[in-house]
Amino acid sequence: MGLIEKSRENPIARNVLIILITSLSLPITGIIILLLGVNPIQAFASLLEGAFGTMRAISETARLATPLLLIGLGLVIAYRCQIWNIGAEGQYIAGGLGAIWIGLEWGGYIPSAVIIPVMLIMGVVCGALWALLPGLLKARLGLSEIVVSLMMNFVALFGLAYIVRIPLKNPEYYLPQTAQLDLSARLPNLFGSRIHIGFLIAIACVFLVQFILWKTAFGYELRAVGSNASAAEGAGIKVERSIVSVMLISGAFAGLAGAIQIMGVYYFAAQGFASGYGYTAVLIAILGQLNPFGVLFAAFLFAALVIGADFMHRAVGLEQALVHFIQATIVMFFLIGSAIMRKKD
Amino acid sequence: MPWDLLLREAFIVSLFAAAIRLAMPVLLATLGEIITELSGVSNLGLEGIMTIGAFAGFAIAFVTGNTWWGLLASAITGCVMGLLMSYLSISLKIDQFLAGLVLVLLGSSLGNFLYRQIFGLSGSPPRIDPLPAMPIPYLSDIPYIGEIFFSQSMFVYLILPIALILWFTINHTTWGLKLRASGEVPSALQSAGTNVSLIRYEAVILGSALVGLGGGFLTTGQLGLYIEGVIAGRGWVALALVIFSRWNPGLAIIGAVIFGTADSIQFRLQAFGSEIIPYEIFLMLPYIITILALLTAGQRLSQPTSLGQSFSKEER
Repeated sequence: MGLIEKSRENPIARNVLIILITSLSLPITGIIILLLGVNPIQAFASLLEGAFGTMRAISETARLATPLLLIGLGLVIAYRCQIWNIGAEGQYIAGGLGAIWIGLEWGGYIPSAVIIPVMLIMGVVCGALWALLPGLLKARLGLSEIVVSLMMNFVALFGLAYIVRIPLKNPEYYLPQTAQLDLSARLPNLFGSRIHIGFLIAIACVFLVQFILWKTAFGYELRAVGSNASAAEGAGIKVERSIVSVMLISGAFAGLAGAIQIMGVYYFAAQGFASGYGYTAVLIAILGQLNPFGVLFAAFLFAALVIGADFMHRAVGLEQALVHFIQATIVMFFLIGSAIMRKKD
Repeated sequence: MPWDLLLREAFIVSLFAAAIRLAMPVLLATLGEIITELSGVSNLGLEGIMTIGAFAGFAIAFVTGNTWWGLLASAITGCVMGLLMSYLSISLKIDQFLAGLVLVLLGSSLGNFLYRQIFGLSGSPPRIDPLPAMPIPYLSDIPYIGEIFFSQSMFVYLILPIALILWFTINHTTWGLKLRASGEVPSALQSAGTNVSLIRYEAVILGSALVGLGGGFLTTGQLGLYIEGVIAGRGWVALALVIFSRWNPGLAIIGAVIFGTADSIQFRLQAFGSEIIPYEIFLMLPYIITILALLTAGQRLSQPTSLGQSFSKEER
């Protein structure tokens, strides 16, 4: 205990210990891997090699980090206000569907410089609208935004299934999926790489969210509501308006992520578009300590793990789903480490 | 389309019989969360606890060939998750929302990973025999009522006593009194010489056991198989039903049966999907009903006063 007591006072020692505790995720996962009859060292080595071994792996990581980062940034704004939006998955789906609808209707008829911004805006608007109901019900009636936003995920999921099966289905295919986006409605790639400009938008949003949180009156208000809603109310802040605003903004970010994923990676929509990024982003926001740059780091870490899992699967035969467990244990041990090292007030 | 089929007796009776069955997993989870929340801890991890309980139940029932061992395994798995939740939220005082969200992703990912790794993904998933129906003599012969309520499996009959025992424990025992005090005025309870943390540990672990059992009953007692995403939001539905039932086990039964009916309608009407009413609308139904159920409940009125707040002896 003496060591921990002393380290609490020293910021460097404190962070080192938090990182050490966080990395307990590896031995815990290792034990499970061992029980399944696989060599854990080999498994982790192949995970790392798959994640960072090639240039292609690194560009795949950046592609996957893009939606995770965007959704995570939106959640930071909501969570800072103590509004627990866990409906990002549905908001992401809504944004993606809004974008592809515009893209399929007008793709090829109007120039890229017009249709791409319109599709992105459509994604933002649809994502925000999907978050409106939980926000309003929370602000006006005090209903749990957690439950309502989560229920909306399932409504979105089946909405997606319907939309790709009937209204937007490509009649030339047997399977329920939309047609491919016209080339003019796709996000261009950067300098011949596989990374699209959505990546740059996501990076720009890191700075945007940092700015909103710390340099605007709105950011101050939402943090005030988050730390003590009744005190904020007393200080003249309109709490209801803050609640609806942060829901709309976090929905907008998830919607933008959905639009960018459709326009930069898939180029069509099918049921598989609902890929669980909205849930992974919850972990990313927590691991990033609700700090935009922390979220940037966490999004890259988690994306790298997912990319590495493919290689691990082929190398040692462990299912890719293992990385989601690793991600959850990383966040759990990070919370444990932070709690143990928390300074006594 | 044979809409008139929907109005036939046989269809309606089997609809409600299935509604009772489908209400059970959610009911168990709701009862578990009521106990947990009455002690002052809000455990958001239900979805994850149900998923890992569903997997453990299925796996053990598959290996042993005995559904009851599977159910026991799912309850024990629930206890372990409850212990973890207690340690995170009570001992370490980690924000209960964050701890719960982590538990959701932990349980879901572990359940799905282990299933894929051990059983593989194939076109025809491995199956076990679900619990057989045990019609109660005489009672099951009552028209309509008999088939709906008294031709269920053994486990379904056990639920009502469980709910009654819980109701009695909460309202008429010393432990129940301490439980409620721990959620209302923990500082007074501590002053009176009771260990608040211990009461909360007990409540969270017992509650989580019921939640895990709910997941296990879905896969072993009912479906006879595990599929990815099998819990499909039932953990979150239970969270809504806790509010709907105003932390009252009796009202929880009504809430769960409403959900079970929506779920049952969804299962049966999918086949009636058409150009006019796509079947996806029916699939959405249970979730929309849940939002509506939440709307009918006055959220803040009956919530335990100290719900969601961690407790330190020093802070008195």
